Amino acid sequence: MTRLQIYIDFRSANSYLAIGPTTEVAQSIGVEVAWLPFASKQKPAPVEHDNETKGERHHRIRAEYRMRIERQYARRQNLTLNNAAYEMPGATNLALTGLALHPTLDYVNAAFDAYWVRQLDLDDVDVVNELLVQTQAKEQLPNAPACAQLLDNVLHQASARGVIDAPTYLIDDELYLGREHLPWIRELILIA
Amino acid sequence: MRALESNSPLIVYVDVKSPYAYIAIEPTLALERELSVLFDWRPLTLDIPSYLGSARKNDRGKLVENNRSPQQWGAVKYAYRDAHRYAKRQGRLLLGTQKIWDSSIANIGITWVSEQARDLLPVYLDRIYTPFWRRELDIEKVEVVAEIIQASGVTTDGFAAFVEGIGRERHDQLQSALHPVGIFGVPTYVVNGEFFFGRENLPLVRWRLLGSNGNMPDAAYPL
Repeated sequence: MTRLQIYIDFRSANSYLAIGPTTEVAQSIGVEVAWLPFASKQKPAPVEHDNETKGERHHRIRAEYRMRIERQYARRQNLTLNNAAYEMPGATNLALTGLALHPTLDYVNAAFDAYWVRQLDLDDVDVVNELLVQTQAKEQLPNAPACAQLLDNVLHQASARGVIDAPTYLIDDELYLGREHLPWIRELILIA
Repeated sequence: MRALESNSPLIVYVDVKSPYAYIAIEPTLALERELSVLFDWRPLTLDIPSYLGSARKNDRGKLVENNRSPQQWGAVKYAYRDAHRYAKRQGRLLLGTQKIWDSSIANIGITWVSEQARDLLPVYLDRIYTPFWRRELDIEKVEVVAEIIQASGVTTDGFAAFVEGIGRERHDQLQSALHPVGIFGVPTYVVNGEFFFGRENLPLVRWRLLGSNGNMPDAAYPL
């Protein structure tokens, strides 16, 4: 069966917003989704300050816009995006390691809900092990060095493929950043 | 001119030097034709170095100036690759630019054409964007832009003075009014005072223009 590969990060609201539409497209054309971890760079929402440069202002208003539009599309899917996750993005490395071990839709949904709704610490071993149990994973997180090694390997592979942000779809070595590509991705898979 | 207000139901902000604005032109014009309304097309001349660093290549494609970080380069390279493949889908050639152009004259041309012969604006947009993205136009020269305006069937009487005087003044005033209302990039669409950045929002913009009936569509690039 053909697989639709998608790199996601639990800290990325756009990744969260891509889960439903990606699953829907995959089901409609009968392909499996391969959920892959990626650690995107998420900066705290910039705050206006005196002596703000033009470039800083650009980044601030762009970030403000991003939050507004992501929330608008989140409401469409009845999803919640908490302020705190935008204001101070937390580390999610252990949850990404969990994804590498247990790449199922149940785990993906549980981890996004834990981060964006329940505001849990996705870099906490107990929290992630609980998510793994809750989603019927066969194993728990290994020890810290093994976790770090595992995540390092998958992130290195993503980086070697040229992934720069999430969500990124990988189709025939071509990268597509964002769910807005889904109409074309659907076409590409259908003609493959 | 108020950045979020217009007599038209939709304001469209574009910049000739933006690859993403280029590939948004055709689907935006298609929406204009579908709804049989005239959109209010306006210039937003991006100050790219202020937020994305700057770089310049020589004629052989070698980098001769660069103050971008690896992350900024990654984003720029992806953006061009992405715009290139969508342009190809539209049957257009999109070659990466070798420097960051001052597109203000070509953008003032949008205002000029809108005021002189609004029905010919789609012709001007095609005639300015298409060769520029094939690296065939020096859009920093007023006589080059004037030739394109003329070839589009629009008068150029007074265009040079417009660029030097009131056209430039209005362009600059508009640019200063954009950041304060939150507008930062192209293409940007303004409906009922609310703005949306990127052509992925065209389904949402269309839905809003048609009265927001039924379910709100998701973000999607038009094919």
